Amino acid sequence: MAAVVASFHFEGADQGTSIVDSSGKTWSITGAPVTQTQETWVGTSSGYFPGTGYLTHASHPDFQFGTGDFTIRGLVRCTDSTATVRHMFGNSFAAGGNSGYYLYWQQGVITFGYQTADLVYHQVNSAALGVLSIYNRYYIEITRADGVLTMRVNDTITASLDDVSGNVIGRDAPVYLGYSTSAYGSPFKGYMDEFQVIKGAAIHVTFAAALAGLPDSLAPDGPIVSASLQLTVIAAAMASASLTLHASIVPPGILAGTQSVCIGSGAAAIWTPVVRVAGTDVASQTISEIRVEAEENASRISEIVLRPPAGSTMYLPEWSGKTLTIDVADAATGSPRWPMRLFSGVVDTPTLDLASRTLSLSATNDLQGRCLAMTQAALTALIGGYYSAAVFDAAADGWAYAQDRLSTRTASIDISPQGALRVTPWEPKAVADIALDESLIYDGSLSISLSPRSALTNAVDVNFGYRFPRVKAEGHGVSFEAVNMTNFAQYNLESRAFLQRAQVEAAISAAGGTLMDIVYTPLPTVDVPVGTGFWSPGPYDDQLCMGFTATVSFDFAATIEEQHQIRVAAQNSIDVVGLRLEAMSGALVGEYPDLTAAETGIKLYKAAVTSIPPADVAATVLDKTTAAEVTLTPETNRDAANAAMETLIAIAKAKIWSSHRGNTITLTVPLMPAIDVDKTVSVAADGVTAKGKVRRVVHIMRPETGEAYSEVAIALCSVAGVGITHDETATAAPSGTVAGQTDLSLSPTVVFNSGPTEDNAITITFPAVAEAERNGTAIILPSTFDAPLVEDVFTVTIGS
Amino acid sequence: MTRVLKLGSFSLQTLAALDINQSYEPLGGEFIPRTINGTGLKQMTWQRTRIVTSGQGWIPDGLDSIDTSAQLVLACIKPRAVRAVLATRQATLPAARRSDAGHTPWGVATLSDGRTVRTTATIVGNVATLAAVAGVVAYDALYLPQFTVWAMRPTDALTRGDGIYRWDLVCEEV
Repeated sequence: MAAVVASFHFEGADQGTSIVDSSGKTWSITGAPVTQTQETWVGTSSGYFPGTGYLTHASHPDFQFGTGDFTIRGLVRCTDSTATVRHMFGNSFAAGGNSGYYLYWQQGVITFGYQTADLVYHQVNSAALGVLSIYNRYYIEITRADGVLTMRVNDTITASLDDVSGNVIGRDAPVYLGYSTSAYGSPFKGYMDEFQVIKGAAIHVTFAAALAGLPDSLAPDGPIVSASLQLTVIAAAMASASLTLHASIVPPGILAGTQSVCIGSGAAAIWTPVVRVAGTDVASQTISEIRVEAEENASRISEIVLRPPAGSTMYLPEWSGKTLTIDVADAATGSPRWPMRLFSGVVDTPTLDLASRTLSLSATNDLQGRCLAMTQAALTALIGGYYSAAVFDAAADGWAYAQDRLSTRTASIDISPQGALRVTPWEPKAVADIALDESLIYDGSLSISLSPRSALTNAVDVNFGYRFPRVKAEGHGVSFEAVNMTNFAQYNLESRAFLQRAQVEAAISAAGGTLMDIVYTPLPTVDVPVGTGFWSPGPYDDQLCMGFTATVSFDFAATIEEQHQIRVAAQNSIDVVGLRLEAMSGALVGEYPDLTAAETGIKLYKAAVTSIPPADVAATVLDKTTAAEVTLTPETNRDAANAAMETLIAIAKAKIWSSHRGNTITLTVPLMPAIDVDKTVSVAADGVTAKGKVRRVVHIMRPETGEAYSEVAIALCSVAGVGITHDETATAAPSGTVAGQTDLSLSPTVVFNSGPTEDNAITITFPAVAEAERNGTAIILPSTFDAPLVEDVFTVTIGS
Repeated sequence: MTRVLKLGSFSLQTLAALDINQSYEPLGGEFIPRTINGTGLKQMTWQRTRIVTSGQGWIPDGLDSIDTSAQLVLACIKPRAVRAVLATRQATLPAARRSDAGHTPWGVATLSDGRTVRTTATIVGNVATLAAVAGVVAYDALYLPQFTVWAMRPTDALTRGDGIYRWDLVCEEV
């Protein structure tokens, strides 16, 4: 396990003789090294070595690095300009190939070295920086990582040896801070602070970090000893599939975008592309520029040019479909390390130029093809959003389906450099992933383009028509009195006919009504004086009546038409630039079985001719026209209509937001692989302050010239200014009409020809169903929705 | 001893190179973009060397017999220096250097008065240890580089008036 095995902060009183190792080790002090406050770098004091004193620790495994990684680091200022070798740290070095090591200063050159058993000295020094001054402090850092010994002074790599793998460094002997028992040198003379030894890890920190104080333990972002990675595999519709897992260790700063292998930290950035075709490294064949382009809602594309070895035979068609991966890696050690993926895809178009003997490969990560191969369920899970078969083509394939869903979201889709499908919201993150300022943006590359007013849309009128049937029932009350007990005698003297009950019911049926209930007024059951005689009850009186009161139902189907006039708008934008209106429309027709047959079925059921209830029937309420909803198909019912309207509202909102993010900042920076279309980038340079989502990035590598840069386009949503809130009305379908009741305005009439010479027929006439009840005019239903916008940080200050 | 230029198995005759010039030019990506605040961010990629050699003499050079379609080892005649550690008088030399007789590494010691004196070098592996010289302020270990190169087809010329044969050879490290 890697650990800080010695840590001296030199905190103490002025001329204090207590020098503490924060790792817990106890060192013996020889001579008079002290803590002092006259010259302090970190904390309240630093260490001073007079040139005759030093600290000693007995032999300890912590200082015997073996063949593993280690770090020796600290702040020093040597005050001796003579040729005297002044040892800063040593492991009892003595010539003889025993792997004891030394770190010393001599005439402005710092050297670290050791001698292996074959008596070969392995050394790194600071000579590349020239003669260091005795008046300056320096941050020294010696590391061995993966067999490469490196010296840094103030962040600059001054020397490295890559042939030290397998060499044992450190011997079973005491160690010295401020000395080395070397026959060649003397104890250190000068100042020292934050001096540390780390066994098991090569840790590089900047000079600035050292001045802030070095930690006594390795933080969690130290070397990864072990790690677990949980993978989620999304099944793809393929006959056969294979999975290849690539893993590489990359410093957190490079992953996060705060560092880049193409941006040196105090030293030149030494980088190299790693290009593989079908898994084979083709870097030695790659010539000219390597280009990777990524853009929202588009496939990532790449172009490389190969010069195959002379004499090689190739079958050109087989190049199409070969996998292509492009990484950019650090090459400071001579071998690629910390590779960052820029592109994963397949060759789309190979082009052979016989004159120059070069093979150009255009490759893509085939965003459309990936979506095409996915099921609608998988795309729905990935993208979300709204969907309606009444708005979109239900037969749309994967890519069209994905675009349909995306049109309802304020987000974009792409495939990451590693090959993962992802959806990224347009709204930038609260804290930018990557900050770009004047120290990174190429001079002359920063430019702004604003979206013209003509390209803006801040209101969308959505007209949605929904036509569907309902069933209705008119409940008519019919009352008729042919005779009563007051005029019964006269009625008989006039030889008028009594109503036959069957006649009444037949008349109702003939009028088209359905008899719901009827109460007859019976004839008298006793003798009634009529003139000079009596009227007496007869055996057929139960078939007659003096009058009746009935409830009659007229059932019919009606077509309802709703016209939803929905306005989706961003009012604050309208207030600034005026109304910029677009229109959208949609329609849906509710599907129902034959309405005429339905009417008949209701009539038969209400007439008790059949006991099979119809699917939908309206209640019969006296003196009312009562409507009832019907069971439409799932594709055309109210839920489907609501889904269609919500989809259209969502599309309108996305359309408004999309038109407002047409403002673009473009700039060029040294290639930063972390910059991608899923990132939020902030800009603070040349008076421009902005934060937005990356819309497009092009990574360009030119190994021949050393150039590696990224051209970045950042989308900015801006119209009314930061701080202005554009409220949103939640996307929900506006309410439609409901099946209600209306009053019947007209009453039926009854005519009974009861006279002795008349036909004794009864005619009941019901008012006709108003046309407005059957097929009413379109019902206008207006509604409004506020469309959201999030104003991105975007200010420009004109300099003097 | 006169240094002899060799290319593969071909050795250039001294009479063909009575006057010889050789230069090393760095090849490779090296670029310094400037940012808005003027910061230079240096970027580098691979590095190779182009060796341009020209000479003249009394006899034709014979370089046209070289197979320029093959990679060849160019043993150079222009030395390079590595500053040695003063205390140990040691310097680590590149492995790609000449070790043929008369072309092995040697040392140069710089005295405090600016004079330089030649000193011998003992080679163990790639480490050169220079013989001590009194009054030295700096030691440099010198060596003759060797490169694996692609040789471009050489050019040659004759000036009849002065009877001088001239030639040019350009090589680039593979």
